[in-house]
Amino acid sequence: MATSKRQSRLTTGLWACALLTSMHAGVSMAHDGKSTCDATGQQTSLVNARQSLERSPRDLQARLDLAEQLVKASCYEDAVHVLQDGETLHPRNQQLQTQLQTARSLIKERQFFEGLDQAEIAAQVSRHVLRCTRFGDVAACDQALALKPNDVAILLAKGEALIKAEKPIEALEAYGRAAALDPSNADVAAKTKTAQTLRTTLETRCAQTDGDAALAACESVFRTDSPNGFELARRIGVLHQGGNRPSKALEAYIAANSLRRGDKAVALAILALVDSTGRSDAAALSARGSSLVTLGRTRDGLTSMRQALALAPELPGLANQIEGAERLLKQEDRMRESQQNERDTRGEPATVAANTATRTYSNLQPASHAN
Amino acid sequence: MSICRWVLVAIALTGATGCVTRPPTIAHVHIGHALSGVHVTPGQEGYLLVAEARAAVVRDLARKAAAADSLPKIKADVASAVEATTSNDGFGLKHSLVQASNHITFAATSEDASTNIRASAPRFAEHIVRVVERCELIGLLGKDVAATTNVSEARTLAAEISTLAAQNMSGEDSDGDGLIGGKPPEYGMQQLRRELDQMIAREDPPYRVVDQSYLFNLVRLPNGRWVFDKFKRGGNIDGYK
Repeated sequence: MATSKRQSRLTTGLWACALLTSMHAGVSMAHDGKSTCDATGQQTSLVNARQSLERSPRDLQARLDLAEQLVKASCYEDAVHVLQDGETLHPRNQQLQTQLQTARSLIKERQFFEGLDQAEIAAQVSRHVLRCTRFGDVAACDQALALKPNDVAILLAKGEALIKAEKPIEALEAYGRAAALDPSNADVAAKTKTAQTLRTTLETRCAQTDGDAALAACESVFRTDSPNGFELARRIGVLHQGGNRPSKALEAYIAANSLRRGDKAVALAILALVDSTGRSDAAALSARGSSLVTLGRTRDGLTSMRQALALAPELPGLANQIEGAERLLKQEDRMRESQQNERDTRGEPATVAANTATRTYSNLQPASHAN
Repeated sequence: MSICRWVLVAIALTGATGCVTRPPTIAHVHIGHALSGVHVTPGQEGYLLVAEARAAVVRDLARKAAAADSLPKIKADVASAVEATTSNDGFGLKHSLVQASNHITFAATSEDASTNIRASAPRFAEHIVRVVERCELIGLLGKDVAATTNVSEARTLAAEISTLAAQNMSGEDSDGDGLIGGKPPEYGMQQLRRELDQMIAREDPPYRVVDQSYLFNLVRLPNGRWVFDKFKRGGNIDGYK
């Protein structure tokens, strides 16, 4: 697109003919208005031309040939230097002057196209910044940052758009980047405080209210890597359950379980919701297995986790969980054996097999806020 | 009798002198394509004249769009403003201005170009960039207007387009120093016109308005040289391509 646009600019006019009247056609056709110097490739012809001039620095034709090769490689500045050096040796030589003028013109041409390209990019940035600041269009903020990643003003605009959208965590990220780029910027510090205040407000709303508003608040401050990530995930699960959205609730509990294992309320909720939703994918089976282990049903939990491993061997952390559960099971077996031995010594009767569930689990939802 | 003869000779000589007009320089003809006329534009006007006219049309249309109440009206006016700004085939503002700059550059690269023109052309090419940038932005915002279903958003965008269009005419004061168009990044068409007028005023020998027969009959020979077509077959402006 950009290339065809540039070519169309060229074909509409400009330098392509007038500038190149004195140059060979090959040189002109190779030029696209914004080439970059490619002398590092050291094409044979360029190397030969350079060596030829080094051997005979006073040879006009050798100098002109090298300049031409440099122009072909889009090394216009180098070509100008070579020709300028020749001006003292060949004063008033028309061919050298013409070639020098052409090389200088090609530099100007490149600058001209660069200017137009920059205008296009600047317009895009302005458009994105306008949408970002006026309409709170976060996507436009990101588009602007893709073009100007280290622009503090755009980062501030993005932060503001995110605050308008009640997304303080992302806003804090944007302000963090801005602060790293401009640590003394007072605006950044003030806006960071605003974002932190909003975050606290939303966390309170998440914990102390119900319904969609609470859920939106929880989701806007939830991050898996935040210190209260587990509590927020669990709360999101509770709110989804309250809103009769079992699939989403299960997702939230699975997230909570992955952040902190061993919470019995979460484990109970996962067992109930895996059953009620009928999910049998690797993530659900893994969470079910982990929950069973939490609730003391290690053998059943291992079975479920092994099923998950068969479905998705690469599921993060699953192999470690299985290892841990296997160790736990061995410990449990050893404890049972030792308890049995004690009983045997006391002459008491054997107990029922260990892997039989010794308690029943209700499907009660962990519905209170305290969860 | 002899007095009469001398008078007749004198008249003949002065008359002859009046008839023998030197053709303009090739550089001046290229400048004429920007400032006076060129046979490919609407009304065969020079590229800069077309650009100035388009800038005024865009300003008026954008102003109308910004004042409109209904979404369809805003969209229609903005679409027309965008067309007059960015169209290539219709010689929109951006295209016409870039072409004007191109022809000034042609002038600078002509063998008979003065030092003044050679020095001024690259500056002019650099100084058109802000207007080009505003044109690009008008085009982008125009697309947003076309896409939106929200009248409030459309109105905000139309107001922004209107501001840009006005700045393209008169320049802006982006650095807040109280001077509109005080420096190239603030330029509009008025400042660009002034810059070209100043370049022309510095020409020695002076620039004179180029006759249409020269403007429209410039031919580029296969060897790259520009000459006037004696048979006046309309030149080969396509030679620019």
